[in-house]
Amino acid sequence: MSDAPARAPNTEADTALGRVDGALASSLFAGYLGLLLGTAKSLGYARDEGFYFRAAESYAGWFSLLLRAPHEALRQKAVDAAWGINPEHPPLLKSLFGLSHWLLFQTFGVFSEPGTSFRFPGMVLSAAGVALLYLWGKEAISRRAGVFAALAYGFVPTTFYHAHLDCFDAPIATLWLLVAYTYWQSLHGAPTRRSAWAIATGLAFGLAFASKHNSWFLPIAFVVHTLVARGRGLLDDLRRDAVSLPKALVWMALLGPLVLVATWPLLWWNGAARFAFYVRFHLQHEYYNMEYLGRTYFAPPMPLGYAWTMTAATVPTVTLLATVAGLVRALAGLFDGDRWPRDDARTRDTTRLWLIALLVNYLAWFSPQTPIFGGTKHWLTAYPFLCLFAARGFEACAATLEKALSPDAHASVHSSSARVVLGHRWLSVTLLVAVLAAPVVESLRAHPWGLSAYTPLVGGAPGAADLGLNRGFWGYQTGAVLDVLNELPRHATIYLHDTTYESFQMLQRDGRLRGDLRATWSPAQADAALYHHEQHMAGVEQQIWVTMGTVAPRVVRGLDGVPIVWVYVRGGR
Amino acid sequence: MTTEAEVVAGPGRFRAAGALALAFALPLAGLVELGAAFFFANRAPTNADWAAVGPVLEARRRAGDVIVVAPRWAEPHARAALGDAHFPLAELARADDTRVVRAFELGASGHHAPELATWRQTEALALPGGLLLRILENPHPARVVTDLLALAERGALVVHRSEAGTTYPCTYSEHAPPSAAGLFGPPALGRQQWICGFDPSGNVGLSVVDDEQFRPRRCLLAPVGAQADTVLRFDDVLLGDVLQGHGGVSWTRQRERKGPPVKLTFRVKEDGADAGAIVGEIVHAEGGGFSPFAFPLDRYAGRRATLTITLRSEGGLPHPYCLEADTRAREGDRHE
Repeated sequence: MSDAPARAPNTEADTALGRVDGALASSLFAGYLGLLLGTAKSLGYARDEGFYFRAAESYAGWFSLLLRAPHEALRQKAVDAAWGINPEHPPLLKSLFGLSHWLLFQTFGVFSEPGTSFRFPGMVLSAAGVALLYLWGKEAISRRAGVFAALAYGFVPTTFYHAHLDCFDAPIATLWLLVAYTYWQSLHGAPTRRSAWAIATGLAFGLAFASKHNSWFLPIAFVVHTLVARGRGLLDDLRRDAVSLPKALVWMALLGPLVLVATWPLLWWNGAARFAFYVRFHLQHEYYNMEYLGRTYFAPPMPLGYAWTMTAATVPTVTLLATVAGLVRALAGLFDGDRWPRDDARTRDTTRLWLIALLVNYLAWFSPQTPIFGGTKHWLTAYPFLCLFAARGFEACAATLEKALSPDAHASVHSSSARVVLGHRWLSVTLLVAVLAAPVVESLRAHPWGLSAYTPLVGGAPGAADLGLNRGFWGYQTGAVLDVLNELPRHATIYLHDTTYESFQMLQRDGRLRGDLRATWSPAQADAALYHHEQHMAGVEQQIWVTMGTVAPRVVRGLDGVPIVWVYVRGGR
Repeated sequence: MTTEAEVVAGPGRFRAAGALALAFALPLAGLVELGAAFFFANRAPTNADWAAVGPVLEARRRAGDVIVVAPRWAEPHARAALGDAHFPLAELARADDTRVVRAFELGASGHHAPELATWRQTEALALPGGLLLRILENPHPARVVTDLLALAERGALVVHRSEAGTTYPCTYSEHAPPSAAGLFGPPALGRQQWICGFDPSGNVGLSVVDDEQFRPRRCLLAPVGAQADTVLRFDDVLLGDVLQGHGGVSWTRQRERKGPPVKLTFRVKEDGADAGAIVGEIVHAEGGGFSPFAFPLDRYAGRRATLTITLRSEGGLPHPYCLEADTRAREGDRHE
């Protein structure tokens, strides 16, 4: 890694690199977005998506009213009516979902399915996260490390699943990363641009603050980083009464609340009380059920090993190995040693920032009071940093191999010999393919069962079922049995189980599910019943047996032989 | 400036070789993971493999033989492929394995059912898709004399509510509207019900509840009213040495231990006797799962009598309750 503390901007070499990097980042963005769009149709709608469809349509309706009748739209009654839906989450992403549907589906007809138009902003932000990882990885480590970081993140199977949804988890991971990146640039970017980056940090934090409560951890991370980075110097500053905060933190404090209030009309009246409701909702969140190692947890104490075990079981092992290698290499570089020369100041500070960001995103799961119902999605914000460390490990591995395989083992790895450079490129590509093949294959094979995907480390989906790890949640799996539902008699009634009515409706609005089919909440009244397996939902399947007179599903679908969703039809097969 | 390669290689041939080995380990690990992903993805039997088991079972299974799928999570595939005929609800949701004489274990990917570990294997047959059919005999099957659920299924049960000394009979119907409330709702009822009033949640009927392992347990749902006893009467029951059974509510309802305890009183009344004699009492507190109970019937063994079960809410609050019971020979006895 370079030990130049700050890059000299606008040199010819940087411009040339910038073009290549811009092209690469754009290609990663476009490629990932295209992949998400191309695979969206086979994915059913998750529970939370159903809630956000409703909220997004309501918010978009308000924007429409704002254009048509601004005075009316700005009255509290209109604001409360439109924005009072789903007040437990901030509005930015739902607003984007709604605007996308309004403009790209209803107005311009870009999408043929309303569901995809709602999901589109989430996909764009997810793809932006992949591209941003490339840029940061490239700037902090190397170009191939940037490519590795981007793809390793995009092809964590659970990331790939969440990247499709009109939910907040993948977008907030991107925004979290963006805030950290701008903060880093405000510290280590070109000196002339650091102030601008500090303002950008404040703006980006505002966007994150207006998106999801994971953003609350950003100031914690940066304050800890400042304390750790300044170390003894901070004590000296305190003695001299000359403590100065990083400018980015100041802008975050100024712009964060401003952006939140500006984007959330609900806070324009009784703002303090409504903000307090939002905060309280998450600090006192109710507990849902989640199976872990054969036991369903529904109340504290929650298992402290959950986040770590689930990370190990769901993130491709090769990515985790690269992370471990990168962490070892980066931590060694923080200290002087005989065998490991100390990294330069910028690299050391980057290591500290990434490490703090990684740990802060797991922080909540050090408490047995923290609910675990969201599976891995709740610490998805840690994965970009996990992948940046993995990229560092990948780079160390690639550089070592390059040196060893070089025609002249003593030649510098940065030899300008055309043959060596070409050889290095082929080596980089070969290594990228060898290391990323498993994550890519696992992610694509797991689709559309992303929440049921487990790595070979635990024996894949069958091994996870043996271990008693959660098989899926949110009822999104209905999308995988639409062909069966579409074969039901006209006006048949379907027990939806864990799928929300809004998600069921969206499948019909998309034209993926016949419009004459009706929903019911009682298996007793159903002609067909869906069952989305979770351990604590076994009683639902038993209700189906008793009231429908059969224990034999018409169809069982799942991943690698593990049943995930099945359909019963009254009277048997 | 220090490059990654210089750092990793460092001085010394040995250390350089170690670093090189570590560098090769990462792509190698990636390729191993890729291979493992395909291996685990293609291990499970296909639907056709499961369906191919049908004729094999039909040629060997006798009435009362149960099918056990290992691992248990693969069972939905077997039910879908083999149909209701091979998985009668009474067997699929049996209270325990004590009365099973013979089990057909269908093991996928090398799995075996742990509950059959001590059973005697009489035959093993390798089937397509890596399925292994093992026929296993219970070394100590219980001899059931009378199964109360079987009597209820035939309608041979009289139900009434008793409130403040007044008896309110429940009406037996085989065409009642089924009821099911979905997740966290009370256990479902099918068409066969003893209708005890306008509120269907007070009706009695055969149902299935999930036990503390979330396994299905078939039972007679007998909700208890706030101030009313629920009385189940089985007439002319052939009694064994022991009255044995299980009771409780769905685990998802009782795991928080918020419901009131339910007291069950078991009485036996022979012809000519004035009142039934109490042969056993239990109080079921929530949190115990689908709890077993057993009472000796010593002096009544081998005789016919009326068996009455009275259920009362100890906390005076309405509460669902589900039970199953049989009379059986003492272990080791085989009397008819």
